[in-house]
Amino acid sequence: MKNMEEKDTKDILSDDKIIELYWDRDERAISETDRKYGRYLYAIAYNIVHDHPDCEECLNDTYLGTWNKIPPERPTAFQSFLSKIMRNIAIDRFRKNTAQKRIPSEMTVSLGELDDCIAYDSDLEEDRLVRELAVMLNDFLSGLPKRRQFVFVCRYYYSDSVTKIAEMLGLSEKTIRRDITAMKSDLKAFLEKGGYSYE
Amino acid sequence: MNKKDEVKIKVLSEIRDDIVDPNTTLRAKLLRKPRMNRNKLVAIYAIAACILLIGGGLLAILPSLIKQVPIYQGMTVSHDSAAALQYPYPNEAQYLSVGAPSVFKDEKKDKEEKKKEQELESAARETLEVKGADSMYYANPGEDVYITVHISNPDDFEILSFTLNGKKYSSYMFEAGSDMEHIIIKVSVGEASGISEYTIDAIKYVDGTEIKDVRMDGERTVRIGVYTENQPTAGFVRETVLYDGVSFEARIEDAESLIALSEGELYAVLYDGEQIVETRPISLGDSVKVSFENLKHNTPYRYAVIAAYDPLDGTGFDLHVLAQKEFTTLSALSFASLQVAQTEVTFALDWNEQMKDRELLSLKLYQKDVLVRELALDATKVDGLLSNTAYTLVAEFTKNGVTERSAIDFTTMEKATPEIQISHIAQNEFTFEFVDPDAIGTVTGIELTRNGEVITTPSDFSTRIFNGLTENSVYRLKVDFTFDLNDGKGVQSKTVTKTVVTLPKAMEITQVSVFGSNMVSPGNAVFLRLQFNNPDGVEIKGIEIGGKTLQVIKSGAYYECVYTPTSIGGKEEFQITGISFVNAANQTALQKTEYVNNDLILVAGQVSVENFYIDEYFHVNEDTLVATVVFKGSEPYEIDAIICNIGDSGYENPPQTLSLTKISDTVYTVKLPWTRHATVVNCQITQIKMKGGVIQEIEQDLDHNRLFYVCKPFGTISLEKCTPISTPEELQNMQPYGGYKLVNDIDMTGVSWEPYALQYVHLEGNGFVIKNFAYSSMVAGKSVGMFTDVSHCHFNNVVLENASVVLWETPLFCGILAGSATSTIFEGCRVEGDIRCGDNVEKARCGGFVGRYYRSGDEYDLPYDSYCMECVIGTSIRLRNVFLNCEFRGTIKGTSLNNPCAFMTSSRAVLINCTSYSSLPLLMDSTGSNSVIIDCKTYPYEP
Repeated sequence: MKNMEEKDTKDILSDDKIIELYWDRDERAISETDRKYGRYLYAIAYNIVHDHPDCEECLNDTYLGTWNKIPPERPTAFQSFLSKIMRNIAIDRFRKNTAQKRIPSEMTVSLGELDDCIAYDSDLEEDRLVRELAVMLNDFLSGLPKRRQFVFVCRYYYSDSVTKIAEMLGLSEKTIRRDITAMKSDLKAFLEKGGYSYE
Repeated sequence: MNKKDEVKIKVLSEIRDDIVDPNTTLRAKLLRKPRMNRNKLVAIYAIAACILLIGGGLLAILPSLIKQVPIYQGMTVSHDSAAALQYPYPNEAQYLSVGAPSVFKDEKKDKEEKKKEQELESAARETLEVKGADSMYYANPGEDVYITVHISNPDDFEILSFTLNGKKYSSYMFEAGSDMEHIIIKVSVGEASGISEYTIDAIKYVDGTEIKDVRMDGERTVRIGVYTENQPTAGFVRETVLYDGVSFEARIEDAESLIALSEGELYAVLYDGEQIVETRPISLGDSVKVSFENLKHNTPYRYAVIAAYDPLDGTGFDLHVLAQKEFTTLSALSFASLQVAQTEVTFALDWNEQMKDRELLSLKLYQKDVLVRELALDATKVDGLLSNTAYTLVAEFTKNGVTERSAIDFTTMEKATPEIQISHIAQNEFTFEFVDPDAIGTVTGIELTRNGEVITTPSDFSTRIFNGLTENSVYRLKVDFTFDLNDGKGVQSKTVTKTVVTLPKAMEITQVSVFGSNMVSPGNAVFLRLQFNNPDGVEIKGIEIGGKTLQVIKSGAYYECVYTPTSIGGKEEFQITGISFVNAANQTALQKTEYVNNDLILVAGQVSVENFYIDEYFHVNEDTLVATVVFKGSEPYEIDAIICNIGDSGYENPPQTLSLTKISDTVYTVKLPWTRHATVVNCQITQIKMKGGVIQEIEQDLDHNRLFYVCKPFGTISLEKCTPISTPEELQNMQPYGGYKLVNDIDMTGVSWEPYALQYVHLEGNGFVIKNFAYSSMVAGKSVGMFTDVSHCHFNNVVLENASVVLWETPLFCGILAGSATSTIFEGCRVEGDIRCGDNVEKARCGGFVGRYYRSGDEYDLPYDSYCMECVIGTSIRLRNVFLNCEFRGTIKGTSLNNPCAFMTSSRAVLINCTSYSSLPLLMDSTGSNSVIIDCKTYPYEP
């Protein structure tokens, strides 16, 4: 069994070769993607939807989405490309599910953390509000130290738990929480300075 | 989902790729890394502590034991202190080498060489394992780097100190930005290149009142590679190339031991252009013998020394070509001396001398892979071949019992297809040639037609000339012939048709003239007017001169064309060699002709002025003053005028055109203009104007192009009209614009003379003398003399004898006759007397006749102004004074005499035929370019 696992790992195709399979319209592209990134993508979905059958569906929809996008696209960062597709699909599912009930996922928690940080101005048209806030958020993130930027992306983009982030970085949860608190405070001040005060 | 969350999700989804992508990649990487769960770790510690507690009964210290002990996790290195905290995880070299040194890389190698190296390295990576020492950080020699010590320290124990390579670092030595989980210190990597290791130990922290050791879980050593330009090198000597192998000696140096330090390897490799054929592990050394055998003969290869090592330039451990060399194995058997003709080929077989045990098995000739002939083993020639055909000669031979082939491709030469060429066309006949250099063709039919009507079809196919034809008519010649190119296509037929236009009746040029002036400047064109005798009345298009056809335009009975002479100076010779016309086939044709002309066109450019002179220097009123100009090279031309710069200021005068009167081919005269001032006129010829208005420039600044002459403002006043002067009192009271004459000698003895100024006065000496004039000046800064300042005056035959001027103070100017003079003519005057300067006198500016003129702006130009000086007959700058036939006898004495001279003039002054007698050694002097001293003499003064 161990030998088989080693062989399985050893035979994993490079991203370029997998993309080539998509371009050749070879259905092995999907199985190779699943073999290499299935568990990783599943974890992204679970952070958001918190439901195993939904995660399975999101995963299948991600592969279908990838199949439809490549070609014509030829992504240079394949893993990131997959992650974004999965995240969008999972968020759609999250929207659908939260219409009926509150979902106890990590995303629910992480969004809640931003309640007193990202302001909501009901007087503004939503698209415009999103556009303007997004520009400011990107400016804010660009100026962060690398570690904090990493923590922010993990916590609020991928909805990773604090525990998981601390594990990844080999730091204490306390340190990560300290980082998150500092970032939220800075972000709030940054947005207020740009004219978006908390409602 | 509420609106607020929807907005948040949308905003978060808009995070830019340049932020999301690198963090996604890092996240995936960190997720793959197996890691002990911190909570589990805490649980393990708790259980262990409980066991201890139960075993030891130390329940009292339970609270402190369940605190989390700080755990050392590793070290990272960065190039600036700000970056030290930014990296999220230790020992991720690929992240942490960001900001690696910029010292890269060998830019000296040319692109082609680099490309070959990359090709070889790429091929080598397919074969060789690229595996060396652990990843590391990089720095430049002498650089300071920042080492960050990462400690998991959730309970924020105070970190007290640690040792790095045995050196203790205490908390006060930590860099700014350090906290309880990240300790930053600065270290210098030093000047020495190579790999430095930094090992951490004994990290102490404070727990209450106790100092404890941090648990050491992480990698304790980091490696920093310090770049060196002294990279490993290799070279080759003693190469021996065989037909089936190569051997050489490699010299490999690695002065900094980079290969050993990075646990690398050295290989000798053989590359065939597609892949690495063979690899040999080798060692460093001066003479590493390498050989590769069993190679294909007559095949290109490349051998190289490749090192797998880390060059410490930030690119990491990889394969690097240290040296490479291309070679081609020798051919065992080759075809030599190949000579290919139209139907045969000759060759020789050249065996490689190294090859033993050889045997030629067969020699064959192939055409498109089909065997066409088997040759004798000793054959050196193959004949009877097709022309323009590709063949392959193949030799089969055995080499050490193995059969091999050697082949050579060649293509026989082509035979030429016959051609028809019209070789001669006249008015009533033409001839043609059947050009067949390889003698492979036969004429099978000839036909000559005109306007579709057959004129003749000679049965004798050797006919080449047709005569009795009509002039200026279009004929069509059709020639049928067969030929065999010996290229396998057999006998072929071809028909060639040529159009022949017979010449019209001969035209000739009957007249060529120039329309307008035949004088031109170099490079300018003339209009030629031509007349032709044109019996057939064909349309004439042009004439051929010097190989070029000039278009002609019909104008009445004439034709005109524009012609640009090619010569410079003198008569242009040109030759019309052809007449261009439109023939019966409406084509432009050329009839040869001969028309030579060498006296039609004159091109300016060779006339120069040989002499320009006058007999008289004086010009009175508007009387005629005639100068003579002698030209050189003017014989063929008619010269109308000279253009001169005339005036009293040399070069800045406006040009004037002066008409010439021709005396001979080379001698002309010109009347010089007159000015109202008494002045010296400078006249310089700058251009000559020839017939037709052609202007030729004359070389400037040559003496023989220039002359000076004098204009008198008054002319001659008749003695009758002059007011007589017979007493000193009358002399003292001359009025402006008056003419005066002495009617007896004037004795000035005892006369209390008061010098005064004269303007526009004409004074005639009339043969009488002013005697014993004496004046003693006690006044400084004024002009001193019999007259103070004279301007626009004419002194004629005025004589002063036994005159004396004594200066007690420095005057402005001093002369016995006048202190200064402007535009005044002294003609036939004589002054005998002395000037004596007292001790107080400086800068007296004295002259026997007149003193020096002085103007403040000029003083710096002249060397005399600072001293009392003697100028026996003096005139001065910018005064246009003229001295003619004047004489001074006497001396000027003073304590600060300087640069005494007999004559001094400056701009626009002239002294002619004057004489000076002085006790001093006198020099003649002229200080201005527009002044002249002519025929003047100086002698010693003997009172």
